[in-house]
Amino acid sequence: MSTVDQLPTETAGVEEGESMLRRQVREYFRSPLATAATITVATLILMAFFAPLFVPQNPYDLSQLDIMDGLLPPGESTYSGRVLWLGSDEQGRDIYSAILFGLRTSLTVGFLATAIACMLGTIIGVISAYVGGWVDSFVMRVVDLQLSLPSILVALVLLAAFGRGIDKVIAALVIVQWAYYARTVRAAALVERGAEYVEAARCLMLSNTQIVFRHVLPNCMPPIIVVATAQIAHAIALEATLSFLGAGVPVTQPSLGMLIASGYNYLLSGQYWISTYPGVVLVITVGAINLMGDRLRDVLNPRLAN
Amino acid sequence: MSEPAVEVRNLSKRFVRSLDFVERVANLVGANYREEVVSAVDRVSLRVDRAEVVGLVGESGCGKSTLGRMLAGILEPDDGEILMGGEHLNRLDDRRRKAALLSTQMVFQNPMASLNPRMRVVDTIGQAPVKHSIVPAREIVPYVDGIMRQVGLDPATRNHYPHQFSGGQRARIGIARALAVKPSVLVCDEATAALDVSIQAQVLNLFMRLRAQLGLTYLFVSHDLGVVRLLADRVGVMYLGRIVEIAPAGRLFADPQHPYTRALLADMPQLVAKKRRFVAIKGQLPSPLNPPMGCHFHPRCPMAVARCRGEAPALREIAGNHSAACHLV
Ligand SMILES: Nc1ncnc2c1ncn2[C@@H]1O[C@H](COP(=O)(O)OP(=O)(O)O)[C@@H](O)[C@H]1O
Ligand code: SF4
Ligand SMILES: [Mg+2]
Repeated sequence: MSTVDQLPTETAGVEEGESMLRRQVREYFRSPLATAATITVATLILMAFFAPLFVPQNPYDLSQLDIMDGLLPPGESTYSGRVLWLGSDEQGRDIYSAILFGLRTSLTVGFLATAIACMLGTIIGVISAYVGGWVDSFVMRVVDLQLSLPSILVALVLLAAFGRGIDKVIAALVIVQWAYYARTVRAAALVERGAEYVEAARCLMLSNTQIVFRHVLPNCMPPIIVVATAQIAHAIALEATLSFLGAGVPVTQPSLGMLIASGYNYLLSGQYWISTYPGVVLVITVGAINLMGDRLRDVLNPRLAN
Repeated sequence: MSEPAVEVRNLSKRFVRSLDFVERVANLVGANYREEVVSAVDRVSLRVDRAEVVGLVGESGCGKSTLGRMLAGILEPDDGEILMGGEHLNRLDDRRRKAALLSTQMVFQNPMASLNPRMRVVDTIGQAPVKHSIVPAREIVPYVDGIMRQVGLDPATRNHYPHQFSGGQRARIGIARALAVKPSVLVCDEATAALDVSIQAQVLNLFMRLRAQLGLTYLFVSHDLGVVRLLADRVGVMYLGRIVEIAPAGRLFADPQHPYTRALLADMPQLVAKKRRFVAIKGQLPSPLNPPMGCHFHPRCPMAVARCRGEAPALREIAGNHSAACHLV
């Protein structure tokens, strides 16, 4: 029966072991808008995290501030002759430097909160799907309750109880966001659980842990990634709102939201730049992340994929 | 007489769909929703001897896959016993029970759906043998290569993903994955149903070659009588969760006894190409939700008598190795 073993050669044209992931990455960057958004976000992240390398001053080191440079409009030069492209606030703080430091706080809070909420929600979602029964019913009731309350309200109440602080803002954001992941992951895990390749894995006597980590979770990644991207943008916007309302990060580590709040009083007296430029950066950041999320959703949507 | 590789005794599996909230509320105000119980497999007894190929046929929904899944350890039976290599599965300790279940592997119907789309072939085939210490992790690549060659796959494609293969090659990957844990019994559930006819023949040939090389035992589930006739030593016919007739393949196809088997064979044109008798099965397959009383087949049976409505016929041996469940045979 040697003819049986003749292999069709139709895989010849396909690249060696090209994974679904690589195919999807290529598909993702086929959109110019998504590519631009990704470059923007990458640039913002780099500049924020290496902010000290990109700024002329540490905006929160009082010894580097000069009150003589206060409230200079964009394009003016300081006493010492340095041009302030985005102007300065009333303490003579360079707005551009303040924005990069503020962006760093905003991004840190957004990413950390999302990462923790994602892990927590994923664990809860998988357990809920796997254990089933009353545990599942209970978890899903809590999720429904959580999702039915406006996140800003819950976060404000929590922060009123916790007090200010980066860690406290992150905790509040995790509490208002874990439920999105739990619901998404549970739904996806229930589908995967019934997949034939999971049955095959059970038939091979693989343990539940092996099945969850090697078969179920990798196939739940697309919806998790889509939700997480949207939630990073949401977390950053939420933190900005909280800080704007004075319930967020401490004054020693202002975020974009707090910069907007601190310049708010000057808007009417004509010093628009203190508030406006941080606002523009916030909008660009949140908008670009959302564009990435939309593109990811299109690329990863299993109904659109073949 | 040869020794049994697997045997099931009075095996049953029911699926219960419990009432949802709306239905329960509706019941409070007088509606009459009941829990739906499907007896997918109903007190089935069957043995498959070593190196034997037993075919299992029957219309879709009669419980063939459910029976196969219980043997493969994917589903827990509700009642009855499974014996593997003469040992009661339930009386074995955990480790030996696992080993027994591992020795019964399954080949699935849909080659694409049964492969993890995010796993390379080398991992799909190699995961279980490494986890069960059949092969040390560092020797897995040559081990997988050997199995890929055995099923007619090019080992150079070991790092590819399922979507890069053709349907026939995916079927071979599914077979390789099962072979990798050195099973003695293969449950093939419609294993070639999704393939083109020419590819189907190649995969069937592969099954037979593996049987000869490895002395494998098969439970070959199919609704395609032609395929079963080609491969099987013995054939069982299922109807609504029960085995209604079982006999050596030649005998069953030449001299079917049960009215359902006869109707099933009459539906199969290529077998009776010349003197075609149109005793096609009348009526719909009854719902397994509330199967008919007595003999499940009586609403469609051309020979039914009064007794058939009240009393279920037992599966009785009517000649050497040939059993049927019908009051009239
Ligand atoms: N997981 C399940 N949940 C509920 N009902 C099921 C399930 N699996 C199978 N059934 C029911 O059990 C019966 C037998 O199904 P199955 O074993 O798949 O039949 P076959 O393989 O012969 O087509 C069918 O009525 C089917 O609807
Ligand atoms: S027992 Fe009666 S109804 Fe059932 S197959 Fe035999 S004759 Fe038909
Ligand atoms: Mg089936």
